[in-house]
Amino acid sequence: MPDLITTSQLSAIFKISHTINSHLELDNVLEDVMNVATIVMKVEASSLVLIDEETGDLLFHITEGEKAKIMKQIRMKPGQGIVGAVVQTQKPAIVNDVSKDPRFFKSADKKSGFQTKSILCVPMNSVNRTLGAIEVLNKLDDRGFDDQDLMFLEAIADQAAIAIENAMLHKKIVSNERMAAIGQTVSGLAHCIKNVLNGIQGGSFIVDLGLKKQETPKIQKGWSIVKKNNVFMQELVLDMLSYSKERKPEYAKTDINEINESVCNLMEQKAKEKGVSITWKPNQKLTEVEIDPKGIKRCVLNLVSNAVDACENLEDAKVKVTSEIISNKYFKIDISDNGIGMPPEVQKKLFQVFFSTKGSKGTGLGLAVTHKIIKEHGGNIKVKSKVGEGTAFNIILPKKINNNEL
Amino acid sequence: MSEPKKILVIDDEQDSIDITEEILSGIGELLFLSANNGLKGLEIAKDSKPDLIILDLLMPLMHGFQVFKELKKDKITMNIPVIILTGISDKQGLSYNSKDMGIILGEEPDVYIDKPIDPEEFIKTVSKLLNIRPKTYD
Repeated sequence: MPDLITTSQLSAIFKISHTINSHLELDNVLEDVMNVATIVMKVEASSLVLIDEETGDLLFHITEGEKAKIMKQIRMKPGQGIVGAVVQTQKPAIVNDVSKDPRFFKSADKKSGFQTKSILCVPMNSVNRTLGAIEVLNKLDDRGFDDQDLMFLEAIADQAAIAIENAMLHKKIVSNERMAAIGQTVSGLAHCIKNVLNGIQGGSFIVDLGLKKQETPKIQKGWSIVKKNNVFMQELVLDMLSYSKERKPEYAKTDINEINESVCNLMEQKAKEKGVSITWKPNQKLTEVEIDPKGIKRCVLNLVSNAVDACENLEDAKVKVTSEIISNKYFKIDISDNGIGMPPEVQKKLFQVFFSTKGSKGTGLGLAVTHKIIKEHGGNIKVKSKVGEGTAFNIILPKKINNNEL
Repeated sequence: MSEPKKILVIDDEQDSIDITEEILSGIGELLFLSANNGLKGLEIAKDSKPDLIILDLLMPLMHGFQVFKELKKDKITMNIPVIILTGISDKQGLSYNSKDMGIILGEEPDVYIDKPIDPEEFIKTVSKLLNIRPKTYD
């Protein structure tokens, strides 16, 4: 029966288990583990050996001690040396005089210049597979390795195996999440692009038909569909780029009134067609704010365009754009409408990319881009909406650059 | 002389309706009805009992799958063939899309047509469902 683990060994195991739970960087964790093992076990050197998944070779992944750097370059064939035998047989080995053990792999010492006298080696396993082994070399006192050392090293190997397994799992989750996000983006984009293509190809088909039949109205109709979809495609590309790139706003002193006026003018035709009136109120105190004028114009344009869509064919439909100073540091732009409003479940998904309630007319990028641009300014966007009553968006922005907290 | 066949196009985009009608005008004499949302579409389908319904999927107010389900529930409209127009490329995506919205179709639509529409393919499919021989564009 081996002696019980000593207090210093127990506290080392606690320390190791704490290290494993508080870091995600695998190699740092393993280095800490091996460092503690070397000190507590009073040995000259130690190594954590991993199996190369492709070749089955044994790699000295973490090495501690005088010749640690050289040891790292050594590869051993499966089954080679004492460590190879331990991995293969899954049985630990205590060898207090390596010169008498035929399994000992002398070339490793020759290459590293280290002189191995004694080895304690234990296999390292996760729940369902062998990961490698841990070995400690040359006990500093003359006692040699005993069963108590073996028990301690086995405890360490268990902890290291958990750390390795955790890190692999984490890597897998991150990669799965990334793949899922890419997949969602690509299918969202493909859907938008296919709708645009349908417009361009369908429009061209009508133009061809008109040319064949010598019917000018048909040609005009087809051509207007093609043109509309070209603009749509252009907008889509711009939104995609602003959504995908991390960018800093291009600040310039800006008159908010100019932005609001120009957006309302741009939207007037669309609003007229849908029977919606747009009004905006100037604010003489907001003629010199520091914002990215192009970016913020895009945000206001997106919100006004959505507001007009929300009011389509309703009686007495109105969209209002106002601006106001709210504190020393911040001002806001309000875009409100008395349109159809949004239920809470729609409001929750509002800024999610590729979420749209507009059918084939929506790309699901407009509000995601708006949200991103405002956040890049260190600002915020808020929404209040009630079904049947209307919606109000507030864009809150710092008046000056470098004012990133709200 | 037999009555011209009636086709109901349910799509929120007027341009898409126009494109569909222009392409199908190659088949011969047809009567087109259209609706720019699902609710109106269901109403027209019941009132005029078209010979074929062409249905878009992504529409505000009522999703195409919901419209399809309602059509198949109603005795008056359940036997009308339905073509679904979609920008979603794969069948897996479609079934995910319907499940994601909590809609179990129960029955599959007669045909899915992938956007962008291939005019020749579209004419062939519609003619077959209407049981008529297409004319060429003159």
